[in-house]
Amino acid sequence: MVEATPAPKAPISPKRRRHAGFWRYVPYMVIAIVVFGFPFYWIIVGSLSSNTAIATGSIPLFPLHPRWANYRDAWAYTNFARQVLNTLIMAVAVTASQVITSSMAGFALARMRFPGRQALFIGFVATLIIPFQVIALPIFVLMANLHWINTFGALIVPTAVNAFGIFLYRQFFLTIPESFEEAAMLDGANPWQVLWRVYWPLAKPATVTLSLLTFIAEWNSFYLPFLFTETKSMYTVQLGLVAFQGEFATVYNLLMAATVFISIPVFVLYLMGQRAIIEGIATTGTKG
Amino acid sequence: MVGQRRLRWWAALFLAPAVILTAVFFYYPMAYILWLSMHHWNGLSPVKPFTGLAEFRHLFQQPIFGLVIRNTVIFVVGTVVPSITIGLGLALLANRRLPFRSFLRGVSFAPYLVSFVSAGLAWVWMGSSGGLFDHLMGFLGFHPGNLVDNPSYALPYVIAMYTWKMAGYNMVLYLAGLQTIPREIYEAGAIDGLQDGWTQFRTITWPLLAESTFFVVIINLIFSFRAFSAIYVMTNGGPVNSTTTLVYYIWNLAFVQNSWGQAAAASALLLIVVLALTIGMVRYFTKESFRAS
Repeated sequence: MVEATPAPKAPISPKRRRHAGFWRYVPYMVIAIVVFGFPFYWIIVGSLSSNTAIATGSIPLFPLHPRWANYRDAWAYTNFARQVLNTLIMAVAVTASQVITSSMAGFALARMRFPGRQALFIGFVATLIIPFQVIALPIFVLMANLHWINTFGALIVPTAVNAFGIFLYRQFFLTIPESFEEAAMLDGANPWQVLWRVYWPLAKPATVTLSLLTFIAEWNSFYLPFLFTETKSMYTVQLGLVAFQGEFATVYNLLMAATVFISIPVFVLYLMGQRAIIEGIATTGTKG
Repeated sequence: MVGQRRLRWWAALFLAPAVILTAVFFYYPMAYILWLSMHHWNGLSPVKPFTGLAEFRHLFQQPIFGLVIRNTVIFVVGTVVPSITIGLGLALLANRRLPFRSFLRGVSFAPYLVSFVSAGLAWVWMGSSGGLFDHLMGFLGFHPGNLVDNPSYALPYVIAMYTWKMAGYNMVLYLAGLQTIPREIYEAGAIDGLQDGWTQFRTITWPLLAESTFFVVIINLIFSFRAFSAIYVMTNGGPVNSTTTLVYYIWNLAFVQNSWGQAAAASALLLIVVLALTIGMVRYFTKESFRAS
């Protein structure tokens, strides 16, 4: 952006004002960075400390003798490998099915005319305001009747559709010119082929955003797997972390080590797809 | 070209998976919870006798119910107001051309990325006796001990953790809103004598952020009402029920006390509250924007 021209009445030039402003805002920046960032540093320091240091409250501000073995011990004490596998199966299946169901529904809502289209769209979006805790009990009863408790079916199927994804694809497909569709139709393609061969590849940004946000949400989800699993062999990572807390309540150094390695995949995904994640959250805010 | 009628079949085919799943996993459970709230059920028995509004009456008569409502209101107001205010402050800060602003953005958004379980566990440790907060408050000559074990501090402490986690999310929403405000408006305002930051904020930024604020308030209300894992991990609803909120109570009624009828009544209550708040917000907002235009 071009630098703003100085306003006639401005008593000092914009450049000087910006400089003066900088020093005015430094304290706020420092406070914000310390408040939001320091806990992360402290968790890592804790994960590298000895438990005697933690118990006596004498952790050095900088870990001079980091105990990397804490990570190995935390990993070994529970069955995290199995829980990571369970979570990956759940998160990948939910993400894939949300991408498929959302792009199909979003395409129909954006590109096809049929009676009740608007009402249907509102019916989808309205589900976004319903807290899962409201509908969790009936879904639990349903899962129990299907004998799906403690299976992947219960972890995947109830979240296989998400109105956020439908909304995201609909908004994206609305921006694609109709000429694409007409050209493909003239070539003899049916709507199914138009969606997957013409529209879906163009909607890659929506797919990336939805996939990242869904995967992170599934990786972090607690209440649904908490209700729908029973045995440790079906636990997801967040349940594993809570079970770890149950067994080693005050062994904080190992607990913090487990917390750190459970959170790493989320940060890796964020660093890979930062823009898509931020834009995905922002679009719900500006167009919701 | 495909005929109009055949196109409708295609539309039905495309919509079928989403419609069926939404019906089975949103609308049917909503109807079922309203139905179940008027029936007595222990979670096992094959019969569910109709009891009218008795389950609601039993729920309201629970000695703990008043406390649950009080905790829920404190938790929701106590998390929504500061996390939005701090989020807006962060957005205003991160929207300026200051050095390290992308670092500021990344750091304050990071808490949103980790799970409530991880963040909750970390805060339990930081709030334990001999932990970080104990030390910091020790400088002020104050030793609160284990924060999550103290009935007076547990709820404020969970609220603090939740606010820490959500402020960065609100910052992202507000940053998107701030970027839609054209720079020229501030320049025009400067010509009209709007020089100092606070006047600029009050007369230009805040009114133009109304749409963002509307959305931010709704989404934060919904998020705060559904907060379960942070409470489960940090305090288990205790000590002495001081952190038992409505969603925690629903889970407790159904899965600990096996009072499914009352749990359904509490769920229905939550549904009604969330719907009423959202509809109220939408109506208030549409009325406001009418007045403005």
